Amino acid sequence: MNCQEVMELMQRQLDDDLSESEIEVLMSHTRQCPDCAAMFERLQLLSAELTSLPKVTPSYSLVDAIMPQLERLELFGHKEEEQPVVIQTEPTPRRAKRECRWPSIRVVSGVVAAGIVAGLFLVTYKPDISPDFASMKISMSSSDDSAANSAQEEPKAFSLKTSKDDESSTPAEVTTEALGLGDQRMMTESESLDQSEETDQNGQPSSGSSGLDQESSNLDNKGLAAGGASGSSDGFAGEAAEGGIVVTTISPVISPDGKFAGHAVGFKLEIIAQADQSIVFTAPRKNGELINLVWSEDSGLLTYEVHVENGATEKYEIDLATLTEKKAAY
Amino acid sequence: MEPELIRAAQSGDRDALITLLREIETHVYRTAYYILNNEQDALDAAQEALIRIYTKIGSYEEKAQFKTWIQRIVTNICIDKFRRNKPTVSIDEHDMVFHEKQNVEDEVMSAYAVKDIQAAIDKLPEHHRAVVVLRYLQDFSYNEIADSLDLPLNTVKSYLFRARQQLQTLLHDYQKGGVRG
Repeated sequence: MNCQEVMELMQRQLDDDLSESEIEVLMSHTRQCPDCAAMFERLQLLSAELTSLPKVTPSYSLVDAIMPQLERLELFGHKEEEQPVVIQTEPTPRRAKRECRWPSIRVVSGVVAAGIVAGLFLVTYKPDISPDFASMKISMSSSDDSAANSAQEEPKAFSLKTSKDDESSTPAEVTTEALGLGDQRMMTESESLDQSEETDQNGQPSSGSSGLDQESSNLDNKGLAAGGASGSSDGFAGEAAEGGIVVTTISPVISPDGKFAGHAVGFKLEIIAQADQSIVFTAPRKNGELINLVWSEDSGLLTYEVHVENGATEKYEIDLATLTEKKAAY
Repeated sequence: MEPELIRAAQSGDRDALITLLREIETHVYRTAYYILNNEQDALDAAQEALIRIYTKIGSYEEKAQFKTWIQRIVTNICIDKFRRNKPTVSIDEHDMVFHEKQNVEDEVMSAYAVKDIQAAIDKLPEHHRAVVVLRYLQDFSYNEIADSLDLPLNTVKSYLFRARQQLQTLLHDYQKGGVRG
């Protein structure tokens, strides 16, 4: 047996793969061949070293770290079964589902949102134009983005709202109908239920409010998404224009320098150049409702949040200089 | 890993699946750590592997061993996704934090420094490296390694033997000349 063949025996011996007779062959060779004996010794040493390499463990629980992702995977798998086609620009179905679970927090967030709406009212109210409050109401109750709009000017209300949303993930809903009456009375969602049924005249059968008829609210969502994306008038957009207040379903948030607008289209965020209305950036689709679009003061960054089904919030930021999006630290 | 737990996880018991992931996370991480030779990359790869195991648990068939199935997933991720060119890796960059202390006797008996061994493993071609890691960090048999890496048994043996010979040469050189790298 030559040294090359013995090498294989040595190797297999390291893995306890030799029979008695093969061990005998190996040993008798190494007794006569100092080179092979030295090599075998070194290999045995190496093998022992490899066996005693540190049994490293992760510095934190990996399962805990991925738990939010796992929950999202599960929820999405689940949702696909129940709702095969949902373009969710409005959080109605989710609100409907959660209504029974989080009644108190929902009301609280409604009240908080009322403050934001007050802010929005102050910002957008133009005394020389007679605003169509009915349409304003619809757009506000259906769009968190308009609330985010005002959040820029209302940092306090903004942070309050965010923290509530984190807890409950319940989107704020509120009606500003009372503004039309001049008494500035804010109503929580529960109060608005009846109101919206009376005042909705445009195929918006106050779907989300009832919270029971999921199918109809899904249909509604699609209608809203189509209207918002195409900019065409499905009655709703038209009415808003007539009213003199340009509030679209998913209202763009314009950067402080006025050059760009952040715009949530479905689950995607687009940045539109105000000069020619071209889309300069489209962010990858997110797994939840996009809210709280906020520009940095220098218009260089647009941050926004994604509310995913399990109540978690992810924050993203888009760098205008590089047109890249990254997940922001929360 | 008990077969009951695996079966429960497969049948849609989410708690069982999470428990199972917790049991295997260290094994998954350890393989990634020694293939990638970098803690952060290993954490990323191990998390990705666990997510994949979570989503693919339904496709696991009992005719394969569960432990080789999970090692296949993690080695594939390490080899595919984290494949990098790193011809000249400075060994000093790899000062490691050990989470389990080696006992003193081991250290005294050591002829080669752990980081020399790791640096040498890092120089191996990726499949050779994976074979060594599964053999020594997961204590897998030739057959288990073959199942994990989807390689013929003879290929596994030849990779392992060649890898050990190469490691031996590299480490022998370190030791003789004290020259690293």
